[in-house]
Amino acid sequence: MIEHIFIFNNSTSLSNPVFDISEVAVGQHLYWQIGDYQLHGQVLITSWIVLGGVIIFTLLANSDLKPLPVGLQNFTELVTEFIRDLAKTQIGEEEYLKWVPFLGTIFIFVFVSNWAGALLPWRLIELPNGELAAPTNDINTTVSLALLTSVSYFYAGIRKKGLGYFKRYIQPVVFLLPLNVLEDFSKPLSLSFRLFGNILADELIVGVLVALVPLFVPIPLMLLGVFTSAIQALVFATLAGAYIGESIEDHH
Amino acid sequence: MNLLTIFNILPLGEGFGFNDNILETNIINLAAVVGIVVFFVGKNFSILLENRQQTILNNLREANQRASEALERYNQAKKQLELAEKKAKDIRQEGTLKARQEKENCFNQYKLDLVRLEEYKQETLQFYQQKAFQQIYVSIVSRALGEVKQKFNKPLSEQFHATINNFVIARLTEYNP
Repeated sequence: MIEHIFIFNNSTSLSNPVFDISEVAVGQHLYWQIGDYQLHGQVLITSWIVLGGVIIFTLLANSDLKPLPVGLQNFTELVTEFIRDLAKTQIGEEEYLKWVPFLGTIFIFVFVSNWAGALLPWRLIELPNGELAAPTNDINTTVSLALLTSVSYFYAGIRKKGLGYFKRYIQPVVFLLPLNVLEDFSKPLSLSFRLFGNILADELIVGVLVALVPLFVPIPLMLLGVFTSAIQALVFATLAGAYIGESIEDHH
Repeated sequence: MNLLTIFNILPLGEGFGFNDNILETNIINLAAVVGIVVFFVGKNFSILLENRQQTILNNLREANQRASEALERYNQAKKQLELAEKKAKDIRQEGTLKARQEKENCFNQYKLDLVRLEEYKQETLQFYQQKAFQQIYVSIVSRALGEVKQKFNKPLSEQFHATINNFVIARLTEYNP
């Protein structure tokens, strides 16, 4: 049950202790071997379920668009409006429309992942190793999302200003160059670890509490988890928008 | 753990299975949480969605109303345009009519003037003719008189004077009242 908790995966028979330490893994995983490459299978399964759910929902809701939104279309339009507002406040009036799809994808994926992890009874399905949970509680997912954000804001800045984009590294003064360069690394790092940490911590707490007191006591914390999950999705999308907006804003 | 026999008979794959331990799957808590979330979030969301739908409905209705109003105004404007065109046509017709009348008037006037001028010309001609005739008469009379005078003057010699005088004297002498 408490296999979530950080363990040293020293099942491998490597003699070098450095390798032992480098094998630090969060929880147990269902490994899929593709060549020499190991994948976290349970993350992929839940990601596909989440993606499939979002895609099917979208197709259901938007396949028959009407001037007066009814039912699911009304809901999807509300979500779209919300994301557009978010993009507008973060990126600015002129360029936000181009980034609505990206921010929307990130927000919806993270949000649905988080809530799926918090609300769906994944543990009904038993895996040979590891267990199903929110896709965002795996560092690989959050890092890939964060790196996508990094690439996006670089792309946005360079497309807007050309090579002049790199002037921002020596602004406002030249000696801030190391800090500005560091920022480019800290942004995806903080993004990914914030999301990953929040979701994983939530699931760990719930897991521990469920192991200690199985009934009713974990409910408040689970509700808190639902709340923080939603907030984390919002934070991720907002920060991605803010980074993009920052890279395309004009320095005077 | 895999006590559910169906999943033992039909395994989902190697090592995959179905966990039917209620406490371990945490399903009661999850149900409660889902219920709470659905109750609160769902209620708020349905209100939000309904409001949104109502707003959109109102907007659509307003837009329809505005469209119909605009159509009405368009039709009115069209009617006015037709009216104006008709009026313009009338005015044009009237104008041409008036112009023709004016032309005719002018023509008549010119004709009258021409006639009067002709008359005046004739009168003037007559007048000058008369004047010329008068002058000619005067000159003829004066020449005739001059010639008569000359004729008178020519034979008036001294001898003739004496003869006449003598004759007259003779007559006077013979006169006896």
